[in-house]
Amino acid sequence: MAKKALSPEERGERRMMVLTPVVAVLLALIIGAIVIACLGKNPLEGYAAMIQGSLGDAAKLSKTLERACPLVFTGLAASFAYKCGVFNLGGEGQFIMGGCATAACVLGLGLEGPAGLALGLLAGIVAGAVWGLLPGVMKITRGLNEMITTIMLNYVAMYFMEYIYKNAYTDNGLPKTIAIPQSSRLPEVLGTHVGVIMAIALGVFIWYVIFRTSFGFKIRAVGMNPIASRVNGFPVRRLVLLAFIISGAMAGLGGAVELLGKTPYRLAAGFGSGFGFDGVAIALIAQLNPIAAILVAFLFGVLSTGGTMMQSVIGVPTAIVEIIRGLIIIFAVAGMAAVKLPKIKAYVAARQDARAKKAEVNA
Amino acid sequence: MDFMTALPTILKAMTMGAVPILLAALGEVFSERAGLVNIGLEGIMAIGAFVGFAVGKMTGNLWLGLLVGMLAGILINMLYAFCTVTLCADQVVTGMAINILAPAVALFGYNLFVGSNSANATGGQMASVAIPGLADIPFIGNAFFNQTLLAYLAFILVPLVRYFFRHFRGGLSFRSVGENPHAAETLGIDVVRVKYASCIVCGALAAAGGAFLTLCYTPIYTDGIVMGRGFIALATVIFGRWSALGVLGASLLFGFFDGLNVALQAQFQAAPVMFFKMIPYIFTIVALIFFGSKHAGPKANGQPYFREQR
Amino acid sequence: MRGAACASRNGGKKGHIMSEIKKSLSAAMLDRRQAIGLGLGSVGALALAGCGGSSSGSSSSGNSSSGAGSEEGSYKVAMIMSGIITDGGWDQGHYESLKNALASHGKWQMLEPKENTADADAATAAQTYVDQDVDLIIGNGNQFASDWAEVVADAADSHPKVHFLITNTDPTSEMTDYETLGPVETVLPDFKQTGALAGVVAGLMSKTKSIGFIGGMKLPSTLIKYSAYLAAARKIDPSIQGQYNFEAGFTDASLGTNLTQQWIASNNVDVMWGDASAVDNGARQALEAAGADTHFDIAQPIDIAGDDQPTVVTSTITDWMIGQAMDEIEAGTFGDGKTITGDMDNGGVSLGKFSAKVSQEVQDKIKEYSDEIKAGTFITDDEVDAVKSTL
Repeated sequence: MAKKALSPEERGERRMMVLTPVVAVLLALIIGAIVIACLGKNPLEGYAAMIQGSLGDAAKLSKTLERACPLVFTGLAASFAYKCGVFNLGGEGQFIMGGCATAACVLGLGLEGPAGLALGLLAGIVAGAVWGLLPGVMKITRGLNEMITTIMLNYVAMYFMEYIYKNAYTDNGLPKTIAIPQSSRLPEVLGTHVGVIMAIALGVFIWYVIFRTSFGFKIRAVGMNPIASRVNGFPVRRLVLLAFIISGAMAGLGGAVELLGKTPYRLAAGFGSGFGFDGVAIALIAQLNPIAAILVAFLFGVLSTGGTMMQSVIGVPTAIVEIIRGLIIIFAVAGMAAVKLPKIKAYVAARQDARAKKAEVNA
Repeated sequence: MDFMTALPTILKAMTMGAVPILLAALGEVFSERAGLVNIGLEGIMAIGAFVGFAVGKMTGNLWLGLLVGMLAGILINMLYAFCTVTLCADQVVTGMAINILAPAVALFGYNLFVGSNSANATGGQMASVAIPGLADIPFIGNAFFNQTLLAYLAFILVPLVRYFFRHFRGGLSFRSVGENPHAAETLGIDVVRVKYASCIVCGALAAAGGAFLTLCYTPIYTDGIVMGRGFIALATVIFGRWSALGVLGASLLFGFFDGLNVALQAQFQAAPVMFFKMIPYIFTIVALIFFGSKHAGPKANGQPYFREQR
Repeated sequence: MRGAACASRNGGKKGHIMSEIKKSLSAAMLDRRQAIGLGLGSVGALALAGCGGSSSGSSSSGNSSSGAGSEEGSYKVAMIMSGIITDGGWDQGHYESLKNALASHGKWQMLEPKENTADADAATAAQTYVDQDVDLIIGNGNQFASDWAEVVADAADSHPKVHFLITNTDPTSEMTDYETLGPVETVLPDFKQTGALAGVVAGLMSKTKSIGFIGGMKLPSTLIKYSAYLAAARKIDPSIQGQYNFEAGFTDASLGTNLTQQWIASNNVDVMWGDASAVDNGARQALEAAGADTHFDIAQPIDIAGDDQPTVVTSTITDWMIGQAMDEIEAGTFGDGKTITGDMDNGGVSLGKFSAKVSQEVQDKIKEYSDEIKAGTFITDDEVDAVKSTL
């Protein structure tokens, strides 16, 4: 990219964009610390427990990575869709449908071994893509706002998963599916399942697609300005539909990986719960950058596993961690908007200048 | 299933279920009429539900609970207003942030207020007031004329909101802000002030919808009590074409399908009931496919407004 | 970003527009190095905050765990639950069982219970207590059985002091994927007795001969409870009809209200028994609206009959036998996948106090039938199975 051409102002602004989320995290942690202190507990002890519980040793680190893994998938799904101007809030539904399809494929067809694994992953991708396609078609043909349709489809997916684990593939009538057979599970590398590596690789790949290919450029152009893109001859509707499909496929793959890679290797109540919205939050904090999304997802993993430890060690309500997470998001959102404000002012001023000059010339 | 025996109860479930959605959706009408899409309704409702419950329990005065709940809703929605109006942050993004933050704050408050003290876990309930005569009408009497006062208020709000937007100067300026803020500004309307005002109304009404859940429906607060009603309210605004009457019809329809879901669950007990539970959500999608149109809404909806940009 | 792009809409020539887009894209875009910096920075910030406290934090947390280990005859217990300790049902029942056990076991102290444990965090939650060498970790319900297989296997080697008690779980069918059951026991109350007790009360209290049941989840225990409930009620009056829902979840109180209203209107139900925490609360709302003098509720699993609950006539109480587990740990006999059974003999299953709506005559009858249930002569397994086969 034309990096050298950046003016000092632009470089300063980009630094601000990087700094904002960091400041947001710090601010949220400080407020969290104040709340903990108000409860009469030691916040430093709490944060130390958080670090120790999530990064303390290799086993804990691998648990944190596995916890972050599904969030990477949903975060990437959200990032990619938003790059194209598609507000996919259905990551959870697509994730769940991916898990359901994988379960149906492995348990329903009775596939064992690598064939089951491969087909299971494929089924997850396809199911997620289909679940993403539905709101896409509704948007393109009927102009329906995808935020609402995707959320409604989340509920449908959640109840459909109930059917899968309570009726279709129930384990002895218990509300959970039979466990995925040992031979079809994702292999382990360095103590974590290989899905973590898949997630990171996918993030890098998506980064490449978005920022280094002409397809990615078109996707971004549509997200920036669909009208101009249409004027320029881009197939806007097809690109938007593709964004839905690819986004859904990534979330669906996440569901498949979660089912095939992480204990208890079953679908049960609560599978994927909240992962979709977490993914949205991750995408926003990462400013839609796939590689940053991986890191923010990891931060969320630390907050989840470490937060559990902090909660039990110093004895504070679980909601503290949720509040810290919510604050990170709101600070990041507000901060990024605030950073952009003067830029827009300058931008408008520059335009007005130009217009004035043009008017002078015309005169 | 004997549909006619089940019908009065379905209608009762319909009106009960429609009220929280109606309140939140009316709030959203104000917000979107002023050009602000607020998908944080779900979070605001959670705050309203908790604060209404806690204050009602603490003071023993449920109306005070409702009032403080609405104030809390306004407060949290001011966060949204500040981010979207003053900072021009993306509205969807900010709404999502509210949806994650607000329920966490409510849960934290619940932890502090109830904690391990189960005596605090059950709050008070508003009593139903039957309208003499009307409440005895077969089928619809019990459903429509035996409600809590808050529910009556919600229904009375519908014509008022309609009147406000049609005939009131303030309502017209709301609409002009949503349609074309720059033109409104040249007419001397303070766009930013109107947007903030819309957020106040939206926060208050959405929180009232949440408080209805704990003050009129069940006397307890649970995490996740809103159960997607905020999102349903968003859908009813589109389905109801941004009009108070339309929103009323849409929320009643949703309430009807939710009641039907429960009636089916009650009578077909051995069936896989999860498919019945999908009905209200699938209905919402189908209704949007047939009646929802992106062309009907306020034209400047969802776009940030920069005052300098003339 | 979007605002800037919108502002450029009036550009003019195509090329001009695209170059503008390109410009704004490159300005808004972060390159790889900055992206990594962004993420690392935020993780680093967290680490910084943590490290700041690690000197004081780790030493004090280390003290507490080693202190408990060295102090002779001192034990720690922790409870992990999906809901909250004031849910008015499942988790509150467990919490009160634990408090009862603590009251009679002075050497034991309780750590902050872990509430609202999401499915994805269930294993981590157990691990955090393993790390603190908690002597007894209690999991409220069989959803933890499938999540904890790995944690138990690891802890069996590295933390021999730690024991696990998972409630409402049958180890022979639900823990088949465990490498070791060494540090594990489960609790299974005699739910036939629980159901039969509720059924006797329902059979004697119902005037309309129509009773209902709402369960949060279709678990084996739910099916047994309902089967015994209906079988026992039919023993009192064979014409009694039962309505059920096993999929109500544990949080949606409005569903409980609407379901119960439907049953009252369509099926004349006048006695409800619930196994769904907050949903039961909703059912009581509907009963009260229909008339608290003629519509009754049997609460579960904690004793809540009283003035503030006008519909509740009595409660079936489950005690999760945590005291017995503590005794076994003190004696060193805990583990090997044994199942602790709670029944009417050892106080695991019982009826709570009655409200004034239950006449003395009815109370006497309930007492008489209770003794038969306790002796196992009131209903047979075949009668329960006969109901169960129809579900």
